Amino acid sequence: MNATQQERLAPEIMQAIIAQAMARGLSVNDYLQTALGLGNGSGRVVPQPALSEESLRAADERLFAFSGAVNSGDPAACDNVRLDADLARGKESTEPQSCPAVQPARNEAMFAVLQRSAQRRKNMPVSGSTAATLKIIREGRAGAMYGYEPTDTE
Amino acid sequence: MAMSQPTPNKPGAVVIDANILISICSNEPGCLTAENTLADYTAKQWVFYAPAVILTEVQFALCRKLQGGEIDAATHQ
Repeated sequence: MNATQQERLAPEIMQAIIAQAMARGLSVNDYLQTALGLGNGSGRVVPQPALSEESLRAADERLFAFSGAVNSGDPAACDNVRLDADLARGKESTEPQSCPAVQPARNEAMFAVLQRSAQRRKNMPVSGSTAATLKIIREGRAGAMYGYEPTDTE
Repeated sequence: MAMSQPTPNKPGAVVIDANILISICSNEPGCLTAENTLADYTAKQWVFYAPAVILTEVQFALCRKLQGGEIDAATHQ
């Protein structure tokens, strides 16, 4: 047995691991299994069978049913320039807090959402990649999301 | 994610991009990093923002992943 195998976890590291596991509603074993990419026992991406033409058409129909479902009333609401301006306004705002000494409440709702999503993913195979997802998003924003041929996906 | 740094009187703000939600919803390899980042911002009381179109973008990407066989129907649901 070498030195690494005999090494003991520092208590603060153990506590951090337990805290992360608890925040997700998982046991330490389940949390570490997920963190180490051993979620489905293999840690590898499981290839899915190709879908039939009929399934693809049905999926298309389900997707396009969402077209027009959300309307912010502002066609420029998601422009990067607008988002940057909103963030800059938030940063520059010097409005004093009515009670600066009081700590804001913990965002329990967000923690609950994170915990619920961790539970839902418990038996879900690990799949895809960030690069592939970004490519899909770029295509969508370039027009595919609205039923057009993507014009610029770079 | 785009950020606005906190000031003494105000917590920071962060705009979430669709790829963060897609990563979490479809259990991508980087999912845990995305989730830890959100948990970290939440613990620091940062405020989250996202454009309404994020819903459409996430739906689009998940449907594309289903079509491409990257995720199964159960995951998609």
